[in-house]
Amino acid sequence: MNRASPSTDAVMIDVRDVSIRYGDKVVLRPTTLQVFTGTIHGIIGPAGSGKTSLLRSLNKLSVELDGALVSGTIHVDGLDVLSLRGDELAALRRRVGIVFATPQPLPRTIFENVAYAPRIAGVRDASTLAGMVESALKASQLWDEVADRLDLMASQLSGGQQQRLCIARALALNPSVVLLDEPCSALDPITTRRIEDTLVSLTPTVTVVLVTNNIKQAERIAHRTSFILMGELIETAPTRRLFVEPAEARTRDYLAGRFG
Amino acid sequence: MTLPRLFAPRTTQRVAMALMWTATAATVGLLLFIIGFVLKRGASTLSWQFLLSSPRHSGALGGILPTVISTIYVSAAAVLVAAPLGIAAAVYLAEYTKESRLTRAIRSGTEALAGIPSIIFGLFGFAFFVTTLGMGWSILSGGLTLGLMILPTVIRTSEEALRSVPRYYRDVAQSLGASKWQSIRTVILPAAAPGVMTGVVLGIGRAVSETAAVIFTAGVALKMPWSPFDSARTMSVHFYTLTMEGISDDMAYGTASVLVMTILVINIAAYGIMNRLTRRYR
Repeated sequence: MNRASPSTDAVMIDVRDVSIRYGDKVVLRPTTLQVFTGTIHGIIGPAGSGKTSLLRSLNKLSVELDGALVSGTIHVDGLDVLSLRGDELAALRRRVGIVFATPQPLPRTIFENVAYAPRIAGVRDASTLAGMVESALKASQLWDEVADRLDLMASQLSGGQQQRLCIARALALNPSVVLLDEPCSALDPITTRRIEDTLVSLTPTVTVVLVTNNIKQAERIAHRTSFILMGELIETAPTRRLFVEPAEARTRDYLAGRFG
Repeated sequence: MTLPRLFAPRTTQRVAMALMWTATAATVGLLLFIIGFVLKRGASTLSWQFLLSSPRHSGALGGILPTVISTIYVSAAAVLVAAPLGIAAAVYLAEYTKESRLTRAIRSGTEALAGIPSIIFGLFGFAFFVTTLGMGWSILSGGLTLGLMILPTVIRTSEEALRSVPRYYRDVAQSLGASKWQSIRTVILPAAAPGVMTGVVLGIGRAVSETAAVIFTAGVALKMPWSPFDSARTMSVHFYTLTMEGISDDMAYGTASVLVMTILVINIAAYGIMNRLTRRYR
């Protein structure tokens, strides 16, 4: 697998001095981080270290739904995320898809799950919708398995299929970024491998941010990886360098399995 | 550490099962007994003729058509008042507010409202709608009063239904670009619809069978209502009047039978409609 970073060094996501807290509880101390366009950026660290909060802040879900207080600035594709509201925020979320830890299909058919975002965005034309659903399902490598039964309820798919459906759903509007929050934590190794292949195939068209508890997963597919420990970004580096010669002792200890 | 056991687990299991079966059978049996008792007493009177003709001699003879129509009108008015208000209030409580002193106050207020005897609602309706607002004894006064009476039921069951919708539906919908209201309208309310419907059906049941609150507000006129401002006698009130004034026990039980069957039909129909409406979401 070719893990060389794409030649362009354009920044898709620019996180500056971002700290996150819920009430008095600080979950992320001031963090600065860049994600380059068209790459897979892994975020690793033990449970409860603030990875998910950071990821959910990139499309402001943490603020809107979890009541997080986020300070600093986050730019995604040039947009100042934390200042967006209403329609502007909805527009951002159409360009930034997210996939959650466990497969979370809506109680609808396969087709309607993928068509949800386009419908909300105002797409009405049936053939346009069908085309969007087909290309999203193809991009998430689920099309061949479900092409003849798009009217099946999404809940009837297997766990791995549901998760690829969720990826397709996030891809329906051709976003520039896809955020994934431990997308394989509920899946077996073979299914995990398929999802990883899918993510690799999305680049460099799509920028992928992959939060994972699975160190090996980051090592396999991420171009660059950040290590977060107890609310503190320890270091960010090209994946190979992070794994081979980490700058920080704590990174080395974590990767060696001495804690976490 | 294991505690000493008096009986083998299998025995305990069997006894528990037997007790639960008995309790279930007793509940269902009691319900069937009451329905059977009413239907048996009313059987001699029941006929299409009885259902579709007007009463004569204060209901001692003839049928009950005006009371059936009145019941439908009054209950429909009550639901038209309570369902939109109640569902909107539930959406507000479940989706738009954090748990706070205000929501607790609203909730305990709602509970208090649910505990008020219906005759008090009747007196309020009489004083406010009938007299102060000058609506008189009418379908409108009765419907509004019943609507207020069943409002707490609709709010509480709808709120519970909304709260039991998985949290992640909100994450998913909003992450895909839906506004909060869009996520409620397209995902959360449809998912909560069965529970919301249960609340509305419970409300309809109470409205259809209510007597005290209706006597004071819709009146007792035994004639076909033609407008919302006409006084009307519902089946429950008709049953009450026939019995209390000793007009006719047969006619009273005939009316009661129709009332019981009406409630059954409403329940079955409501769940049927709901199934049809929400099938594509499951």
